[in-house]
Amino acid sequence: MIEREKMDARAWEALFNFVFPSDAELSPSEIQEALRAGGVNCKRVKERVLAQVKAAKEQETARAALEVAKARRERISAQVARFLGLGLEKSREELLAVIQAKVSGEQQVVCFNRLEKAATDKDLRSLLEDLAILDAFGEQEEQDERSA
Amino acid sequence: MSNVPELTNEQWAGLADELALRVQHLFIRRGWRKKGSFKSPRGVGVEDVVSEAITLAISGKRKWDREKCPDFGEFLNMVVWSITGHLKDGVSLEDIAELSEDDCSSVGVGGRSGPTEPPEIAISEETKDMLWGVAASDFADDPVSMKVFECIMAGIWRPRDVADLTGLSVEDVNKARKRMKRKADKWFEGRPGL
Repeated sequence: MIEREKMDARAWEALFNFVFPSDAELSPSEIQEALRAGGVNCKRVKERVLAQVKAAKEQETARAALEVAKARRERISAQVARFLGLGLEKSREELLAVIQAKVSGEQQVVCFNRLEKAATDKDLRSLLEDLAILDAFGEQEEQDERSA
Repeated sequence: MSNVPELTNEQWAGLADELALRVQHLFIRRGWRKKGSFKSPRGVGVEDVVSEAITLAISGKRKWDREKCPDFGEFLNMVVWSITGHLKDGVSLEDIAELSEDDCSSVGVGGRSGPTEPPEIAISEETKDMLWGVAASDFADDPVSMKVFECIMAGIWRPRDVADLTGLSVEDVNKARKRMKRKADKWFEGRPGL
């Protein structure tokens, strides 16, 4: 006759492991059966976990996009600073050369017109800023094409 | 997702099931049952613990050290072990994330390196009552179960080992195992808990 009093810690462990097989001993369908028998909604567990993983991945993608945008903004800011560094005292001939080198088509025509009509330092500064931005975007497009 | 391995949705789903079963076993060991399902005394369920463990791992609040514990499942095993320990101490699930990190490198491993298992949780008296009721009713009726139980008394429980020692077939041992599991499930059904 086996008596409960004779059960030591090792025997209790053995009995527990015998009655409740670990996931390592069970097939995926047996694991689900054991969970269902215990009142656990397997579908809901999976849905929650997959939703968490999806949300984390989306956050990561958004963070990466933010990093790219931040880097782009920093590049444009640096470009603007560089153009402004050329100085407003730059001669109109030099500015014409910059416009010819950096922009083309309709944008070039617009820049020439603006240079022609630029009467104040403010006008020139605004033109230089726009040239810097156009230049930065041009570089970005080239980079994108290369990476594509 | 740099804190966790690259897994497919299917792998995540499989991991969720395995983890849920581990949590369920931890709850059974502690005798945690409430209103017909496995729940901590404060009402935290198996799903909640699994979900929290995944959140802690993804966020890096429980940092997975790939070198010390290459098996991510084993790492999560330690995280759920740790979470249930905090629940036992009365910490709410929301507050666990803010506790200092107790990751793979510090949970129950005593400074050893390499993959480890967390220490077993002591089986509650209530769960022992259930196990005894299940086993006693089984071996009282069946000579096969009696032989199985003699092995269990000696700490031997793996079906292959039990079969080798008793001369029974592994199939017969597994039948006894499944029968006891069904009785345990019925026992739980009949006792909705607190």
